[in-house]
Amino acid sequence: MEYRARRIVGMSLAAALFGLSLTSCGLNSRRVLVWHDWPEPQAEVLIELLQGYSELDPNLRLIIEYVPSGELEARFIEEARSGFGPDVMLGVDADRLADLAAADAVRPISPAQSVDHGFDQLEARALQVMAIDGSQLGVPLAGFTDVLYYRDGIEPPATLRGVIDLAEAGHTMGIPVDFVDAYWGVDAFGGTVFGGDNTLAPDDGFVEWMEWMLEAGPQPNVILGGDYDSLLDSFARGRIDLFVGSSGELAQLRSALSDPPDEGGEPRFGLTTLPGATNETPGGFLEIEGMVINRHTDHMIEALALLEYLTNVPSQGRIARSGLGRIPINESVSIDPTISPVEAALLRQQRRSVVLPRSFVENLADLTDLGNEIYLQVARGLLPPADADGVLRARYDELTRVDHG
Amino acid sequence: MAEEDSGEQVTVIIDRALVFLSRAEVVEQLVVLLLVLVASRVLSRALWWMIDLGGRRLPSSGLLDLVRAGSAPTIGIVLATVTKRELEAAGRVTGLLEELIGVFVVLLAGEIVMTGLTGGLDPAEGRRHRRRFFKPLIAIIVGLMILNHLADLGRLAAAPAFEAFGSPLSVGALFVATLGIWFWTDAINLMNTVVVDFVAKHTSFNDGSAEATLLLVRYALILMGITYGVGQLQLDASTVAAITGGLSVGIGFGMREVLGNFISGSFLLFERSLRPGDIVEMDDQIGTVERLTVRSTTVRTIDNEEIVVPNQRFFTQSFKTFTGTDEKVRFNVVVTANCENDVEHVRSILHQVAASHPEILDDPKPDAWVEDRFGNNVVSYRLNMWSTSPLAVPRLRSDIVRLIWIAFQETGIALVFPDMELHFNTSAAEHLSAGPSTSAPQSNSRDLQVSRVSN
Repeated sequence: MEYRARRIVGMSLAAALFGLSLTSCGLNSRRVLVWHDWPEPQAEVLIELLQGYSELDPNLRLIIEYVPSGELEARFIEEARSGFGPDVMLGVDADRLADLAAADAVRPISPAQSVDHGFDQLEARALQVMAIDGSQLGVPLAGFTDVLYYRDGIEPPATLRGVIDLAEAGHTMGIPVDFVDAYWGVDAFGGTVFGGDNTLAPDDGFVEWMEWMLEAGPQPNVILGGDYDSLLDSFARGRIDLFVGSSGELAQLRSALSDPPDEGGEPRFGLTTLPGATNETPGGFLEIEGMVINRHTDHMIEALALLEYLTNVPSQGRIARSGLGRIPINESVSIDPTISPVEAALLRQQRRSVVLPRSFVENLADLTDLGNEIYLQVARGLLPPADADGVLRARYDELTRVDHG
Repeated sequence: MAEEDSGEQVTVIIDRALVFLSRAEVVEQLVVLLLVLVASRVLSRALWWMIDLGGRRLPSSGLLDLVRAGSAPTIGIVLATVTKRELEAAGRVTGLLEELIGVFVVLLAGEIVMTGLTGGLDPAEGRRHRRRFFKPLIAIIVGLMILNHLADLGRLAAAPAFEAFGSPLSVGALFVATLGIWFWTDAINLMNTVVVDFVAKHTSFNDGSAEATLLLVRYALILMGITYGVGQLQLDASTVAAITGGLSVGIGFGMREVLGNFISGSFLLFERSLRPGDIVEMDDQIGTVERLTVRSTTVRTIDNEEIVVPNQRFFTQSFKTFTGTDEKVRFNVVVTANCENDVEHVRSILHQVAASHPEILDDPKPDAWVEDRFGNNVVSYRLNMWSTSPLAVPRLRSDIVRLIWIAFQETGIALVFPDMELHFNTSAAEHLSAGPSTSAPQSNSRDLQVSRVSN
């Protein structure tokens, strides 16, 4: 009995202490838990923005936590199953949106809320990426797309012909030929591979892109590589002069290719739009980094207000000028190309980018594998470019038929 | 990312707790969870109250103990599963209930393991291990599961708690170096107790040797655990060396005896010159070595007294052991008989008596020696015998004397008793014959030698 009495007293004291701690923390404050996946030092920009928001509303306490990008969505789903998880999650990969929706972890934003908070003013394609079956599950925060990086002293080519000319002049260029990373080439010839209703319909543009790769491949200074990371590393080490890669690599390349390195010096490289078949800029896939609201939050108003703040013109402008390769999705953001040429190029490139239709997102991994295989066969001369479109279509149809029974 | 200290982490935990406690789904689940916990406990108690026939506890048995221990978590699993299904059907969030089922499963598995491990032990010992090891372990598992929702455990573990010897000590390292070592030591002790018990009950090994070996293994494992735990603190080696070097003189003087006993204990264990179960004699007391630790040795005497002897005594002073290389011990009984008896006849009877006792060894054979002849017309015989039970010698001696008495009576051999001198106070004798008186005997009384008895 004595032990039991001690236990009861101990538990009561612990409860009282916990209660006092809660009171001392200010029960009247509203708290919003925010998760993000921006690693250091990129996170400084985001935290600065969020702190700016806290200053606007002193009664709101933002609890900001970093979760590595590889774990972000999975942990959110796991926590939301028990009613936990952040109120707002930043950095959601749009490809994982379907998983979040399937787990019923996010709270959709109604059309009225979109209008009230100005989300309808954001770039329509980016907004569309964050919706499934007409339900707006999240709001875009920023975008990434493929761009052309070039070393100082080189005049970047505006056309694919110019790429071959540069190669012949002795400049080395790395072009990843992964199906997703090289899709801009199809667009460069004004083509597409996507038909309606989850079917592939590669057109002449696809065939011409294959033919261009077959022509450029034998050039000693054109590297059509399947390994994106090794090409990126070669550019970062100064072994190649031009590189087609995601705008998301900008921060890493700035760190590696600055003078002096890692000290925020002047970058020894430039960035521009991708070369087209003509002078028209082609577009790669638009990759969206989104924001979602937890289904279980009891701070929906605060969460929506936060999303509005992060997508407004000043915040988007701050993100655009952060040098992180993140492209604003607020169409009202304008950047003076004479002051910020890199950011202006990013914005131009994003306007040309292509949105992967939602129906293909589910099969993206299969589609990528299949596309890579076709590219490889064409590059090795095993498959004539003229037949590549037919093979790609047939194989994808076969794949999806099997997948869907 | 800037390193957060433990204070900031605590603030974050409280902030997160407030965020979650403001959510209706979380509060609803916590209430349901509490109800399930209480209901499982109450139902389990009520069930066993009925089974135990209204409070008279059924006799303990392995299976019954197992069922008894596992009843509360099993009822909990059933209740939580049913509640979860109902809530899911109503479209409610049930993640915490699912975790509670996981906790009940862990608890059930733990109860099965603990009952299996401690079932053969003394009930008090079993309860001690449950109280010291199992219950805190379950509490910590549950605590970490809850904390996992309130904080990033990885960051919390990495957060510095305070600084020692010039090194920041992280919460995780402190956890390992304190609770980790505590649980490791207790787990090793539990396993040691279980194995010793198993060896004693189910094998033919000398349990003293097994216990001594296990003791060495136990200390080695505990040392490994402590080394690992302290290593996690990642203290600056040079600072620690400088500080401990300065303190070593003071520590050396202050803890000289402790260290001496520790080192002696270590040698005793490694040399195996003393093992649990050994029968030793110190300070004219015979006893069995009960426990051997690095500091002291506990000896239980035949009077059931426990003597705690510092190990240094065994290391620096001689002591008698009856079980060093073997457990045979020789003892004897001296009897006297009239010199008219045939010596060989008496010896043969003594041999027969010794041989008839089941606890007297045949090898070496009992032997009766003739010790003293002709003095006072008696012959002394010393019957030497061997036994493997040093602690039983007093009882065996009593048995043998009784058997000799009977054998001599049956064979007509008269025992001879030693001479006796009786001194009578004659004045007192006269006084007694004269009748009662209040006067005291005179002090000038005279002592007389009355007789000398010899058979």
